[in-house]
Amino acid sequence: MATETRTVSVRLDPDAGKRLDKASALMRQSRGGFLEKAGDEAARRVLLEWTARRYRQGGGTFSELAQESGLAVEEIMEHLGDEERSAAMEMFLASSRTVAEAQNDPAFLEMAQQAVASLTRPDVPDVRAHGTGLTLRETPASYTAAAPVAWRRDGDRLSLRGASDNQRATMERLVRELSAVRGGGRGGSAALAAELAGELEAGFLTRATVEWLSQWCHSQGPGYRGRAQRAARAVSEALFGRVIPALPRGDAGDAAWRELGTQATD
Amino acid sequence: MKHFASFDSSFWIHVHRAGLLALVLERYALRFAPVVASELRETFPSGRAFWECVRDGQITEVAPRLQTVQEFGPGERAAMNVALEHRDWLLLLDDQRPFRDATARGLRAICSPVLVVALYVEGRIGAQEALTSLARLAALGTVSPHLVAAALAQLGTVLRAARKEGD
Repeated sequence: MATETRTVSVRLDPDAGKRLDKASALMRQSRGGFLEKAGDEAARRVLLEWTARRYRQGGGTFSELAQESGLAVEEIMEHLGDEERSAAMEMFLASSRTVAEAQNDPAFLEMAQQAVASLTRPDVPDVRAHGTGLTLRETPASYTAAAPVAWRRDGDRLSLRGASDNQRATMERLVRELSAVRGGGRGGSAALAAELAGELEAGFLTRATVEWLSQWCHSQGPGYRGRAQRAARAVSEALFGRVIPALPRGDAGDAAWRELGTQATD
Repeated sequence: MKHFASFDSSFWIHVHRAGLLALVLERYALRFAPVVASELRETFPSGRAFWECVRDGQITEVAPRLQTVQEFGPGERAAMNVALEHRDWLLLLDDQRPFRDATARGLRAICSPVLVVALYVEGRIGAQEALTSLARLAALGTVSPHLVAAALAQLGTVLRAARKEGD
């Protein structure tokens, strides 16, 4: 399907132009590419806040808000959910208390409290298999945010500090899928997947491998786009909870690597 | 035999994120409108799960012929129109306004919290698991607290009755 793109012109004063030149050079992007990304990120932030406000005011369903804003339904729901979670759990417990009192059944409240407590555990199973053959790539949302895979940055490598069995199984499965998506040769996904699998097995990731993964996540080359890129991004999300930024060699890449390490250590 | 059911994207996202999707697939033969599919993007986890199910043939597309419902967003509208054209199907929906409208039109609508109670009543999950599933749905922050509260009340009544029977 052909993608329609629009061209937007901007006028910058000399200082703004200088900042743009420097920032885009640091990120190894064209000025247009840099503005496109920065503009889209800013627009998303504004629209996520707007859709959350509208939803709370009863100003639209998720589908309506997605259509109006151009955001994905799931993106809106994730954002709204992050903001509403604590209040929602308080209401859950308050409702459970009311039910327990109305039914004269204190055990109901105890079970509800146990249910809430179980959500804060990082090892809560993410899905019931039930023989459907379904594979899911997401741990369920929990009262506190689901614990990410924990990493520690040691120079040019990230050491795996902790991952649940589910997280390990997810990582392994997604790396296998990446391997199959565009196989052969040094430039194929199998080579990257083999590096990832070997290093994960040994409990670390080298910067070179993470850089390689970031290339797959962000390259605009025709060999990467589509299924291959989605598979690489899914691996990144499983490893780091998000699609990692581009990690070019140089100052910008160093900064992004340090930031990745900082977030990984938190 | 499984019930046929039409659903919208927010229901899918809720049951996926709450870990209930496998049970939903086990219980229903799911059908989706094309516009619902377009709302579930592969760049997000629930969208990826959706497209995996489509590719596996676990769920299939059906386009509504008529645009009877004109209100709400394109996803809810399409899911409702599909259900209106197949009156023996169920409609799986979590947004309150379209949910009310659907029941007013005589459609058999089920929201995710009520689904959890139904799964308990059918013996597919235990009482603690039902409460944990409801807690997960609540924790998403996007399922109406009123729907969760109604399901809790329903579950409390069912549990109480079951205990009395056991006494």
